[in-house]
This record gives sequence, C-alpha cells and structure tokens, in this order.
Amino acid sequence: MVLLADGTRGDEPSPAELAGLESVSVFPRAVRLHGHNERQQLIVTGHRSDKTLLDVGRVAKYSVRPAGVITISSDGKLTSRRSGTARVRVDVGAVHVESVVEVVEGETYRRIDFTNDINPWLTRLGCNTGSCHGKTTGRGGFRLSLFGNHPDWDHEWITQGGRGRRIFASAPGQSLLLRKPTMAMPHGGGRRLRLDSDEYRLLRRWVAGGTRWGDSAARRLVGIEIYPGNSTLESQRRQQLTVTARYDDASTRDVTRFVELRTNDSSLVEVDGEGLVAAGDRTGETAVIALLQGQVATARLTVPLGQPRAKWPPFPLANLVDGHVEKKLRALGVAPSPVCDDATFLRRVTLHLAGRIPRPDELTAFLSESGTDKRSRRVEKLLASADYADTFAQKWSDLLRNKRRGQKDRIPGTIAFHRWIRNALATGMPYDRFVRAILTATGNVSVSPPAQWYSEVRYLDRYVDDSAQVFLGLRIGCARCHHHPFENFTQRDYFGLAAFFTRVGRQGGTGVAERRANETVFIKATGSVKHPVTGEIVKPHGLGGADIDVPSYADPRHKLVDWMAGPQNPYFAHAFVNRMWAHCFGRGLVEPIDDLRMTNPATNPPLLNALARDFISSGFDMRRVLRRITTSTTYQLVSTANADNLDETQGHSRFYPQRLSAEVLLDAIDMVTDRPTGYSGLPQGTRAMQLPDENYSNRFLTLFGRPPRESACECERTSAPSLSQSLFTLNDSFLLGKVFDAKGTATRLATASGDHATRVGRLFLLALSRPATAVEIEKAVKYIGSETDPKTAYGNLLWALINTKEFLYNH
Amino acid sequence: MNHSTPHCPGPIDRRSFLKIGGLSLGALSSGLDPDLAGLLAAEAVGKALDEKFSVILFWANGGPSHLETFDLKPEAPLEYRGEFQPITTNVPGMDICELLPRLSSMADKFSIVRSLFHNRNEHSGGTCRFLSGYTPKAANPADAEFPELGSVVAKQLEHQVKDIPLFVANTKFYGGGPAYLGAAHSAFMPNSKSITSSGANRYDPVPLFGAKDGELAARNDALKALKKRNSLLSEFDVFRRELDRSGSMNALDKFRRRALDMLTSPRTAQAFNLNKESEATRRRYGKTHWGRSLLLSRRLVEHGVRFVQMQATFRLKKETGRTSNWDDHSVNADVFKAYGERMPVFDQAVPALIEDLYQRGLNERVLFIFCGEFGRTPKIGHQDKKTKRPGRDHWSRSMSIFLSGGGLKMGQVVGSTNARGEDPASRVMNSNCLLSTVYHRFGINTKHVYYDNSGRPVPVLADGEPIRELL
Repeated sequence: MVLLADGTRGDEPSPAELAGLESVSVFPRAVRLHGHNERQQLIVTGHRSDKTLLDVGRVAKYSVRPAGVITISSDGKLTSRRSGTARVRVDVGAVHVESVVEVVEGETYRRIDFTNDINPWLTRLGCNTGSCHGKTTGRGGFRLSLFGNHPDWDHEWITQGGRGRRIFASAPGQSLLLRKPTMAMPHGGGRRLRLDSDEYRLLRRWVAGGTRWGDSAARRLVGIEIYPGNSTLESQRRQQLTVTARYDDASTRDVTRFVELRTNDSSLVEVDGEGLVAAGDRTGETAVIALLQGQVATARLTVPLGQPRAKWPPFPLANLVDGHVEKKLRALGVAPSPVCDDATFLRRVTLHLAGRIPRPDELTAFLSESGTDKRSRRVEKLLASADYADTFAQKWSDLLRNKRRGQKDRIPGTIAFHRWIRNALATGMPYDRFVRAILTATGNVSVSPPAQWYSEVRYLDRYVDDSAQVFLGLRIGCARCHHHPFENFTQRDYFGLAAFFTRVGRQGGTGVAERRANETVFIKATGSVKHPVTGEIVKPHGLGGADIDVPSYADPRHKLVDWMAGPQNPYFAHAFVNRMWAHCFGRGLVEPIDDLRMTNPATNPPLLNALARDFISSGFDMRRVLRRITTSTTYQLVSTANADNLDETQGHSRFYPQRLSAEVLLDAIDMVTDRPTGYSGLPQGTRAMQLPDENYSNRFLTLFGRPPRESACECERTSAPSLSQSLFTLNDSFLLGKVFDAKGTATRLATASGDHATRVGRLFLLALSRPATAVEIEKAVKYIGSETDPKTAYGNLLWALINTKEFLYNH
Repeated sequence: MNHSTPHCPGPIDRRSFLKIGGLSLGALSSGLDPDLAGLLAAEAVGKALDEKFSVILFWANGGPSHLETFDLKPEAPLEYRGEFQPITTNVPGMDICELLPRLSSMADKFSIVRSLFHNRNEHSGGTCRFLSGYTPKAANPADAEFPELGSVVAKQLEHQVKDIPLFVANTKFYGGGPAYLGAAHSAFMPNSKSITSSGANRYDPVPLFGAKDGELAARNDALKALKKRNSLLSEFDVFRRELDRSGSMNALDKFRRRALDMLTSPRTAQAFNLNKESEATRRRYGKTHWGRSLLLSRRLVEHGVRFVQMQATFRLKKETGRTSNWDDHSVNADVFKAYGERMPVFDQAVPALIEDLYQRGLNERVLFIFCGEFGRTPKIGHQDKKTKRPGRDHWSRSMSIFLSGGGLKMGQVVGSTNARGEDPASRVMNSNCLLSTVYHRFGINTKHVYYDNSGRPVPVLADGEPIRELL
C-alpha cells in the first residue's frame, strides 16, 4: 500500500466533490448469492460532469431493506444472512442508485468443494509456491502441486499423505494442516493463517466435515474477470476492484478474496488482498492481474498527471502511430516534448536503421537539403542501404544463435547462415517467408543455410522455447513442467507445440554435441511426444488451436508456420512489431519484449494492434514497420524533458536515450578515430556490425555487452555500464592507441592547416554529429592553446568527446 | 521438521524487494533497469551481509585427486590405493598425505570435508555444476550456463565497490562465468602478465596507459595525463543525465568515478604490489607461481577484495606429464610423480598463507578453499599405450574439500568415503552444501531469485544446506 508521510492511505473524495457528481452507478445491479455467509463486493462509481469517473464506494451511504437478508459493510461488501430478496440503496451526495440482492439457501453454508473453495487458499496463502511445498520434492515432507494446478493430487496428499497425519477429523483444530500455518507448531514457512480469520474457519469446517473432495465436476471454473477492466485514478486515490468467477453451470461468484492479486508496477499502484488499489505519486499506466486455478484476468489502471489539460503543444499526426500515442498522452495528461532538429534526427535514425553514426558529409548534405519530406526520404534511403541489412542481420543472428563455438568446421555454416539472413533482409523477403524458411529448414547448411538453426538449437524443448520466444514473443518454457503461472497455457499446449518438431532428424556431420558441424536436417516419417503426466500422445496444435493430423509424407513444421502466420494469430505479428518498436525506442510496447502474455499487457494496446494489423496487411513487409515508426512524430521528439514528462517512461512523450550497443559503439569509435579494428579471417574494413558469428574475439565487444548467443533473448545483449568498461575506456591502450595513433584523426587535425576553431568544428561534426556551439569552440581552442603538443591536445579532445554521454548514447 | 531450514519466504514480490533495497518507491520508476536497481539502491542492502567476509578460492583445475591429498586409502586394494602413505597430524585422527608434512603440524587450522559429490564428470560441465550449483544442459560448455559463485557474490555486493574490484581472478575458468548475470559480474582479471608470470614479481594490475614498466616517474606522468583527459571530459560531457530514467547514465558516471579512483588511488596498485612484502615473507610462501598467487591473494583480501579466484596451474616436468593442470589421466601424466612434484610447492605456499591468516587475525573473516571440479577415479588406470603410466580419471561421485579460516570450525574432518574412496559413506552431501556454507557466511540469501534469459526464476541455490559441523 502506498503510504503517505503521515501513515494514512490515499485520499477519499471530499463532500464537495461528491456534491458535484452528476450521477452514480453500481456494479452489479443485480446480485444472487447462494448459501450463508457468501459475499459480494459492490463497486460504486460517481460520474462527474466532465465524463470522468470516481470510485466512491467507501464514502457512499448504504441502506438495506428489508433488514436481515444481508448485511453490508461501510465499503460496500455484502454478506448473505438468510434467504430472501433485499434492495440496497446507495446514496452519494445528492444522487443515488439501487442494487437488488437475492439470497437462496441462505440458512446453510454452501457445500465446500476442495477445488473451488480450499485449493485457491493454498495458493493465496503461498503454501504451494515453488519455494515452499510446491517444490517438486515438497518441504518438510509435505508436497503440494505447483500453484495448485493438480487439485486431485493435493487433495490426496493433504488427506492421505504421511499416513493421514495432517488431518485429525475428531478434533479438527488439532490437525497438522491447521496447527502448522497458525504456528501452533513450528513451521518453516512462518505464520500464514490467523486463528480469527475467515479462511481458518473455512479450512476448519472443511476438516470437520470430513475433508470432502466436493462437487467440482458439476461446477468447473471456466474463467475470471476483473471489474472495472479499465480505470483511471488520480494520484493518491483508490479504486476498488472485484473479481468474478464464471463456472460451466453458468453461475458466477465474487472470488476477489480467493484470487491472487498482483500489480505489474508497484511504483505506480498497490493492490491489497481485498482488491483495493491505491495510486501513488507517479504518472503512468499499469495492470493488476488476478490468478485463480490456472485462469488469469487483467485490469488496466491509468494514473494521469492531473486534470485533462486545455492547452496542448503542436503534435502533428504523421501516421497511425501518432494518433494512438497522442490519445494515450492525453489520457495521462502529459504533454509531449517538441520535435527534434535535423542533426539529432539524422544521428538517431542512422543509428537505428543503419547501425552507425552519420558521416560528416552526409550530415552537411542533410542539413542543407530542403523539402518537408526530407526526413522520410532519408528513411527510405537508409532502409535501402546495405547498412540496414547488416544491422538487422546482426539482430537476427543473435536471436537465431548463429554460433561457431570455437569450431573451425562450423565457420562455413555460420557464414552461410549470416549471409542468408542478410540477403533475406536486403531483398525484402516477407517476414512470414523468412520464418518459414528457418523453421522448415531441411538439408545441409551448404544448400539450406537456416539448417544451422536446428544444428545449434538441437533439442526438442529448445525448438519450442526458442521458436516461441523469438517468433511469438512467448516465454513458454514454464509450461514444459507445469501450468504456466501467469498465462492460460497448459503442459498439453507446450507439448502440442513440441509435436510439430518431433519428426526432425539430424544426420552426419562432425564433432560432439553442441559443437557438431555440417549436419543434415531431415524429416522422419514418424515421431511423437507424450504428455509427461498423462502419458497421452499429444498431437501437434498451436496455442488455442485444434489438433492437427499430419500425414507421414508431410512436414508438420509447415503447419506450425501456417498457424503462426495466420491472420488471427495474436502473437506472431505483434511480437515482430514490438521487437522493432523496442529497437527504435529502447523499450517495447510490451516489456520484456518477448513476454507477450495476457497478464503483461502493452502500455498502448491499440497502438500495438494497429501496427500489427498494418504489418499483416502489408504482407509482412519488415521495412514497412520501421518506416512507420521512424517517420512518426513520436519517434522524432527530443529527449529533453518539459515541465510534465521528466518522469514519464512508457508513454513516449519524449525520446528516451539509449546506450549504443557494443558493435555500434566500436564501429563509431573506428570511424571517428579513423583507425579500423581488424577481425581475424575477415577482409580489412569489415565492421563489427558485419561479424557473422560470436567467435571473433575482441575484448571491447565482450566488455561492452556483445551477447554470446546462448539464448533466444535480446536481453542477453546488455547495455549496462560496468567498472571494467570504465577502466577500459579510461586507460586501455586499445582505445587510447586509436585516439593517439599517428595515422589517426587527432594527429591529422593537429597537423592540418587552418585555425583551431575550424578544426575543432570539424572534430565535433565528426564525433558528435552536430555543429559545435560557440562556447564549445571557445573552450576547446583555449584548451589547445594550453598544451605544448597539438597532437596530445587533439588526442585528448577526441578522447573526451568519445567518452561523453552524447557520444555513448542515442538520444 | 528440519529446524535448520531458514524461514521459507514464499514468493518475494517487487514491493518487498523495494523495501529490502531501501529505495523510495518514487525512485524506482518503471523505466529503471532492474539490473541497476541493486547498484543504485546502495548501502541499505549491505547491512544484512557480513561486511568483511572474503574468500580465496585456490582452484585445482582438472580435478585434484582426493586419494593423493586429503582422503588416503592405504588399506584399499593395490589397484586403488596409490603410492603415498597417510601421516598423522597435530589433530588426532585427521590424517593427510605424507607429501604435506608442514600442513600436518597445523591441522587445527584447517578442516577437510570428504563427502561431497555431484553429477558432472567433464571439466567445464563439472566446473559449472560445482561453482554454480546447477547442472548445465550443454556438454563441455565453454562458459557457465548458470552464474559462478564469485559472480553471484560480486552481484550481491555490487554496491560496495569502491576503488578496488570485488571479484578478482587470475584467469577465467573453463566452464565458469557470470551467465545471465551479465558480463559486468565477471571476475576482474588484471593484466594477465601480472599474476601468472613466474619470473618477475612486480604486479601492476592495470598498467597505466603510457607508463612503461611502472617506473615511478613515468607512472606519475601517465597519471597526470589521465587526470587531464578526465577534467577535459567533464567540461564537454554536458548531456543532462537526469533525462535518462533507466539509471544507465547515472551508473556510467558512477563507474567512471570508481574506475578513476581505482587508477589514481594507491590502494589497488599497492594491493597488487608484492614488493611491499619483505623478502623473508616472499621466501616463506616460496618464489613459485603458487607462492606468489597466494601471497597476492592475501594482499588482495586485506585490501578489500571479497572473492579471489586463483587457478592453480602447475607445469609438470616433461618426463612426468604433458599438462599444466591437475587432469592426471594416464595419457596426461604419471599421477604419483605429478603429486610428488606439486605437493612440496603446495606444502610451502598453503601453510604460509594459513599462518598469515591466523597471525593477522584474518582467519575469522577470510576463508581459504582448495578444491577442483571433481575428485579422481579411485581405481588406477594405465591407458597410455606408450608408457602404461598410472593415472586417474574424472570422478564426481566423491571429492575432498580443504578449508581454512573463514570463522568456521577448524581441526576436523567432516564426512567420509567408503573403503575405496568411491562414494561418500557418512555425511553424504551434494556439493551445493559447500556453496551454501559460503553464501551463509557472506550473508547472501540463497533463495534470492535471478531471472535467466527466458524469464525463468532461478534461486541462487535450489538445494544444499550450510555444513553444520563447520558453523
């Protein structure tokens, strides 16, 4: 809970605010409670005249008629007492609303069902997590299924495990099941349950009633929903949420207290166990997720900066990106920064699309170019350049783990695969064909370079994990061993994907295990995979798709790509556009970029959908996505903050600076020092960006975060600063040698003709891709005058510029 | 109920993490790189940890033989027992190899754990398994798939870095590395010539650019140039770092300051400078690679390095074997001659270090560990076709660990193996128990979860309890 300085929680609406409300509504309007002591949370919403909403549930006045059927708490929680019908009148300021409540069989407790009533508590109390009893070996001799995904096992382990020692039916309170979590006995997991709590009484009643399995077969959970699904709450305000379960007998139930509730960003909002959300001081958007027995639900919450603003700075809507971004920024009440100047744009876009900083001649030409469309023309030029293909070939070589592993005989394979990727990008191969060529590769790397992927990834589970993470943006590995904790993916779903790959065979080649080279990938006539728990042979099927029968003469992997690239697939296009967004903005609309689960919604879902649709309708044109992004106004904003947006980190109200990656940085250093780095076995002039595999040893690249290509995650490439990097740049001869080299830029400038001011100007244009300011020139000239040796002076100056944040970041 | 099990915390949500980190909620904007959060959170985390505890890991890469060092089996059949006899020590019942007479007089100052095992029998896989606590998937992985012990320590103590690195090694281990913790948490490896060279004993960890051979005057000039460049940088580095809310620019400046401190303050250079030691001391350790390595290790922990990792390479005589590691297969070396060569050097350097640890009161806070990735096959092999010389192969089913100091209980043997040294017989322990003991002393919570690159939560250790006899 976000606490204020005085220890109180967020503000409630004042009487004056309540008096000004136009109307009030209540959810649900009609309630049906089945059994004694059943609960329902009412959500009471005030409507202001400016159409904004306000949760008034804790300041409303509730009155019930007739009395006795239900009771109601001051924050709107109904509890059934006896059968009958009652009306709840909710008064807020001058307006009111009513809800009708029907109680059936209100005199007796509802029969307890283990799956629906007991198991959720074991999850919510934390008993069945991976670090406690949910561990595969259990804890202290007691095991539960992870997150309660196998209630039948749990029931048996609780009631019959340890020779029945956990249950003492004749004296329920003496049961180990109750004594341990209440710390009546020592418990390694600490106190989890209070004696005076409802959940303790429930567990005790269940034990006293004979620990029945119950009637869950008749009433299976089919889904949960959070109300309200979308809400805006001002900072320090609170919003009540309620979670409703739907069962297959068409009944519903308020399960807010049974579910696990989490916030995706606790610096923005906090949620308590009763579903009450409190906003802090920060502005932004996040989600609260609810988890219950493998079902998940999400509610989005927006905390705007303040009241909607009347004045809005100019923000030209260049394309579909900007409309969605503006809408979002207006909702947040955060005004965007202005559009950047040409020099900043050129450096930024050249870095993103061509992986390098602009050359001084390019810059001068661009600055003097005229025409309102000069930026889009530049984007086209960059997208058509060889540097574009190099830049993205590197990205895909990372993700597709193009790895030599120190094996000489793998070099032809890694070079062929890299070249194949590069050609695919250069020739504009549509993304679906690109993915199909990789996933359905057969033969040897010499005829089918993408076969390298199969040779490197090697194992059935990695085929699934890698292809899901790279092409679907899903981290599905969890579901190999248990139901995915934050998504509705089962083990059957996982092995359904695995079944597409079970007929992949590899033959021939040399070397051992991961280090094998020149294998031939082929499709066997048979091959299947069994569900590890049920033993059932799982047929190939996409997530949420139907089982597919693949004849022995066909390649099942084509069916996988058919499913992936189908127009209805909710992951394939989304994952790609999100990846490109992250490439240009430093963070994805969904972050982490390969974690597209329902419980991790995008910061701007309509934008993500629009980009994905646009990508699909273009026939999966990869360049189109980048074109859309880089020609948008959103992309071209300055990184400088205005009065609103210094702390804004996900709405794109300004450009967030990004550190240059290892290869880009090294190429940039090589360019500005004019001392190229050599890579063994490659022609001189090869840039770091063009290295085909991970095995070209270079300390700079290693230190600055070049990924070893051990996983399919872009996160492997780190741009985090480190002590060793700083030591390297401050002192290592690799960099300083380039700077002070007799054939390098500094020496050349030092011995060139012309006054120092002109030469300093050239140095700035070269290194920082912008003209120097008068102050900078003055400072630099003064410094040069203080040195006896101009070579040292220019060298030191060049070194200093290379180490500025302006150089090290794309901003 | 196992009462020694520490409190089972359940899932730690981000909020509790923030509280532990002592960060104000506002500071951790959603844009902050979680990797940097720990660094920026700074001091508050450290309070729970043992502020001074340090480790010197002396690593017998290749796998030392337990049967030739600390777990001799003179009663075993001929094809098992080896050439050496055990000798008694000043602690009754704690016998060690006859090649270690000096050590035998100070057994009250070390302990031996004889009953560890794990499940990976090849060098890099075994190293990753032993030092990370997790079994790697790939065979013979060059780099660890899970972070090695030193990297976890470096990550956990990151905020304490001042002008000397936390984690220093003389070389990268085959199968070691920071894995998904990122390159920033790999060991700081000074100029490779500094430590491994066997001739000169000048140790300049980061020779200053432009200063040749560490001459004082040259060094001062280089230092002046370095400072000048940096003041120039601060004049031109005007980009406002607060515009970056990810914490990256902030961290960059922080590291730059630390690096500058490291280069300009005498602490690091002094820590590495063995010339500061008296001739007598250097002679006591032995003017060997190992002697110098261990003397340097002692200096490093005294100057604030928290994890020192020294690979114990040793060049055998040509007629004895062809390796410079401990991998004494018959095809590589005559295992008995090899120990005959190594152990006298070992028996000089290690006792000298232990003496120093105790004399300087470092034994309470510095733990010396000698081990390798696994033990060796109890049955002697003669596979080398040409020489038929005796050798032993890889054996992860049992291994011995040698420990000294660290505030642990010394003068004891923990556990035992069966009559042939094949398997642990009493106090059977997964090798993670050693890691657990070390983390325990550092005050590192082994349940702390890191996320691998597929987003899977991986605790520091999944199993293993601190070895209770040592605590």
